[in-house]
Amino acid sequence: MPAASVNPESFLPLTPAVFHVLLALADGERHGYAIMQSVAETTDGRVSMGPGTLYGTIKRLLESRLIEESDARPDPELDDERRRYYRLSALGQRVAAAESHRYAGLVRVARARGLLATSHAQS
Amino acid sequence: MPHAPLSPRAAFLVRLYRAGLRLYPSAHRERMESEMEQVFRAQCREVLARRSLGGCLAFAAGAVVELLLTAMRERLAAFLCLMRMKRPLTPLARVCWSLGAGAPVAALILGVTIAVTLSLPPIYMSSTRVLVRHAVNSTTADPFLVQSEAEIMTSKANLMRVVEKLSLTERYSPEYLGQGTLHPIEVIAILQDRIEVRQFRNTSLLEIRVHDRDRQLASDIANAMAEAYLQTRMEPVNS
Repeated sequence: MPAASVNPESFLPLTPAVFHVLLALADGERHGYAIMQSVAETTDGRVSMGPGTLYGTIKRLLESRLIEESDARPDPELDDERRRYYRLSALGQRVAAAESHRYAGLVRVARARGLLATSHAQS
Repeated sequence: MPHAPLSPRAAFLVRLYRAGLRLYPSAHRERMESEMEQVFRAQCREVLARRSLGGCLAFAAGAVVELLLTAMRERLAAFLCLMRMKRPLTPLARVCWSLGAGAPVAALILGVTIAVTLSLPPIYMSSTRVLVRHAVNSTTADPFLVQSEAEIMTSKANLMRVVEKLSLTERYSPEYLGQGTLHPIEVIAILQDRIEVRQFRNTSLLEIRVHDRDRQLASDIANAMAEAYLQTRMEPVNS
């Protein structure tokens, strides 16, 4: 089935590990360790993925064609040639966007019910 | 670019991790093994350079648990995939699959058992024996003498002597209450949980066993119980 005809909503909700990996790849391709570091940085160290979780997730994302391997290497001189880089596929971009919208909707509900302070109340 | 050299400790952990990767299904290993090892190697280098020994041990324990859990998950996923393909399994293949899926489970149970055992504080056992005899002027032999003396030894009056001699109220109160003081009856109840008095084989010896986290205290209690018992027996009986 062509990726363009796949409904991204059919992948939702994503597991936290999958969403974290998609978010880590949203601003460019990365290798496994860089994905792991990005997840730790964006969550202030609260989420820590081990190699088993990371590569299990990457395998499933490759199988469902949400990510793909990249042939380009940022700096072949400095990099280990055995390292693989991954990037979001077009379908992966749409799924990540759909999941982000879903989260945004939940945040709106939480804010309306007083669970989250509004931005001006925080400042 | 070749790998940067690792410290001996990190190299040891990487070797262990490489061995643990065999728990994953072969298809997963073929595709991901080399990358997983690279990532673990990078993690090791970073963690061992920055963390204390306790932090490094926590990292290693976390890595083992993560490896076992994800290996089980991948094996289960591979098994379900095979079932969806509806390929009949030969009996030999079934046994191999069961062993393959069972290995990470067994390793996980073993790992958790070892971790729990190592994390528990040690409990020491101290024992002493007391010879029980009929009174010199006794004319009849009591067949239940040893059992009766065991009851005297574990009586509240006898234990109270031990509590007073070793100041056990002061010792146990902070452990059980934090602040405040235990009632003597409560201290005796605590002591009763830690002692065992029984006939030693088929002899006239009474064996006192005391279990405590403090090796010296276990020994002191055992000796104090024997002394308190002798003291009790030396006292004139009020008729």
